[in-house]
Amino acid sequence: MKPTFDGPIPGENYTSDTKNYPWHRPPDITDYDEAVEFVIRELSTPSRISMIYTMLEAGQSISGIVSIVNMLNIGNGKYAVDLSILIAGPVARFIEIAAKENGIEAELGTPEEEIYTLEMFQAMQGVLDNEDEPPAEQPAAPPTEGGLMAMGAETGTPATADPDTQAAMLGLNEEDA
Amino acid sequence: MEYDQIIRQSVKAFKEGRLPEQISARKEAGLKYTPEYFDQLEEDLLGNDTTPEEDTDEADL
Repeated sequence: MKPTFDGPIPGENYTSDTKNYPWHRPPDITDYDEAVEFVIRELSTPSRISMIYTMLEAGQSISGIVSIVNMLNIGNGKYAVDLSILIAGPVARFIEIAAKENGIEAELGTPEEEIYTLEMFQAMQGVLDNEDEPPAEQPAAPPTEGGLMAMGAETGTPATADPDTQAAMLGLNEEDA
Repeated sequence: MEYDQIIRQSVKAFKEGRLPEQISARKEAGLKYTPEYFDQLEEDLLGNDTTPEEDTDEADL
């Protein structure tokens, strides 16, 4: 087998422009209040807030939505990761208040402590037994030997039909015979 | 620690009224979006929703 050289060659990173992506450049917003105001204004648009309400109704936690919003804005170069952590609280409170105002029950998504149980691990692995479901059928045992023509020999079933059956299959009844 | 976990911790701390040190230092200089600001906003928005109904009920009586 021939070795393949499909990885980057040493120094290849210097051949591309380091300012190709928004997160390679300084962020647009570096102030706490300015960043919170930007996110609140952005989330207040009808399309965004309706999307957030839908996500909340689908069971998404507020913290999860804040993470998504922050990741999008970091990717677009609006603010840096450290500022996104600082503004997570205000953004979450804004979403919480907006949801309450519209009668949507929303979870903040900040459990005290995760308690891992055996059932959780089994559910994660997909091996949790469901007592309501019938047990899966066992696969049929493979034929032992002899192939197709020997089938039935082990079970006692005659390999060939009796003469009467054969005559009936050939369309010969007793009158013809 | 993953990003989601840090965000959860940050949200929880803000909900409990705790701010990072650097932000708390700026609070005296005039910080707008504090935990108290959102508590007041919640009270104004959700509290005002119930008041007119009570007023109208009393007026009807």
